[in-house]
Amino acid sequence: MRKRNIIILIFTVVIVGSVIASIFLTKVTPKYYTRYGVELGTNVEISYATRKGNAKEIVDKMFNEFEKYDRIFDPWIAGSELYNLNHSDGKWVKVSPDLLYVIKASMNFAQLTDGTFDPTIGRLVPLWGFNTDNTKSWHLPTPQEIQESLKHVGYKNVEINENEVKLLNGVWLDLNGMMEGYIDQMLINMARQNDPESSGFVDVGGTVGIIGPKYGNQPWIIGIQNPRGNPNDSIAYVKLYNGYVGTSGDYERYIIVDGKRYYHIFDPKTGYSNDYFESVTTVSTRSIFSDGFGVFSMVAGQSAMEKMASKLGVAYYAINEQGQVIKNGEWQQYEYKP
Amino acid sequence: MENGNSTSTNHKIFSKWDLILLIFLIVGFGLWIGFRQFAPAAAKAVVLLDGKVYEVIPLDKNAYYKVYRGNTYLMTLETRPGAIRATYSTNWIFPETETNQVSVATGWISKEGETIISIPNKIVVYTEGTKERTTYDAMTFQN
Repeated sequence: MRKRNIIILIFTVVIVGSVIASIFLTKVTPKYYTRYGVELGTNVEISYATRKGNAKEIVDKMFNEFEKYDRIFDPWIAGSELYNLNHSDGKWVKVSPDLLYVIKASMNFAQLTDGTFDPTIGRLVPLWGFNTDNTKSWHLPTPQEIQESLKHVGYKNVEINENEVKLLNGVWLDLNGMMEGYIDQMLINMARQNDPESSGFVDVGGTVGIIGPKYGNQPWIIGIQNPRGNPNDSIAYVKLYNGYVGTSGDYERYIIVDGKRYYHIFDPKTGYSNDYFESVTTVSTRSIFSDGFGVFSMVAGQSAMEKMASKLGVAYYAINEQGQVIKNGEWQQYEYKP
Repeated sequence: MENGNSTSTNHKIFSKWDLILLIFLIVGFGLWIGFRQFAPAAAKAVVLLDGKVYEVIPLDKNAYYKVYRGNTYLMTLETRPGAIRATYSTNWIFPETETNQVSVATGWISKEGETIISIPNKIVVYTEGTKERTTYDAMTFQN
């Protein structure tokens, strides 16, 4: 009888232990729901886990938000809020809180950079044809056309009064330099409102924001696309527990004329792109800087990039046109070597 | 004899075969848990069109698949065991133009985490259940 009890006890312990182990393994390894898509003319990936068990529902809600953001921020769709503002003929226009936030953030950064980052380069984009996926329309404008467009560039032509905006001198806004980071931030807020301890990341057009650490305490590993490789080819890695990482580069919307590469980030003083960097990747705790700093650096070059990084407290990893890597001291804490 | 055997069995807690069955059940249960947690699924590629699953393609043979939006041809995909690539892509919005063929230039993808993306056609292809996964969880690229 005693022997039988011992065996029954062992059997019970093994079975109960296995069940507990199974439950434990399931619990410490949250199930991430990942969804891919093409939104706002770029790729989007959201990966999310929550103890509330409604990850799919929340991610689907996040994806539904893109329709709203398309109606606000796409400057090339007739009827969008930004399109209407760009075609408002110098009148005061009441704008939504989303649009106002990004315009204000862009204007502040334009002032800080003395116009090197300038959201009013909107007219230059269609001049080069980079506002469309029709690659046949991408072309080198004449110097006269560029000079004519530059007459309608300058951040000082933007006036803001509470929730109204006025664009003077026929300037057009293009908010791509900060829009994706802002949308990242809004979607992350949705995820955290659902569950403050939830985990995952939001990737809108290559600007990746962290909802919460992987499995609750591990970093997410973000690859930096090799600017001269294919889209799955990473040249370096970042480890992030929180914050944002974004990249600006010369490798998606570009043309090569007589051996020279021209791409979609324009120097607002000349109307042409500069050839300082192949790409600049920025890590920041502020979403708008993870986007805006890269755009600024592509225009401003290495020396100005270093000074501005110190001022903003951002970390950067840049690859210059000779293929050399330039990174600041802040970068070390984010660097991941597999 | 029959009665004698019966009496002898009653003194044992479990027979030899009972114990073998018990061990078999415990091992089987353990394997089932382990398999449930860690076993890889069969390799497949998921093709999304306009955000919805268009097709799930098993990556177990050499084959070609075409993607259409309605009657409009968009892309040709080629598979081989464990991998998939785009071999041709049109531009849905501007059929008269050649695309810059980022999707085709991407080449073969065979790791979980890799994607083939055609922005103008709103197509995303990703793999599941493949042997390897990418070193990274997400990729930052130019905006």
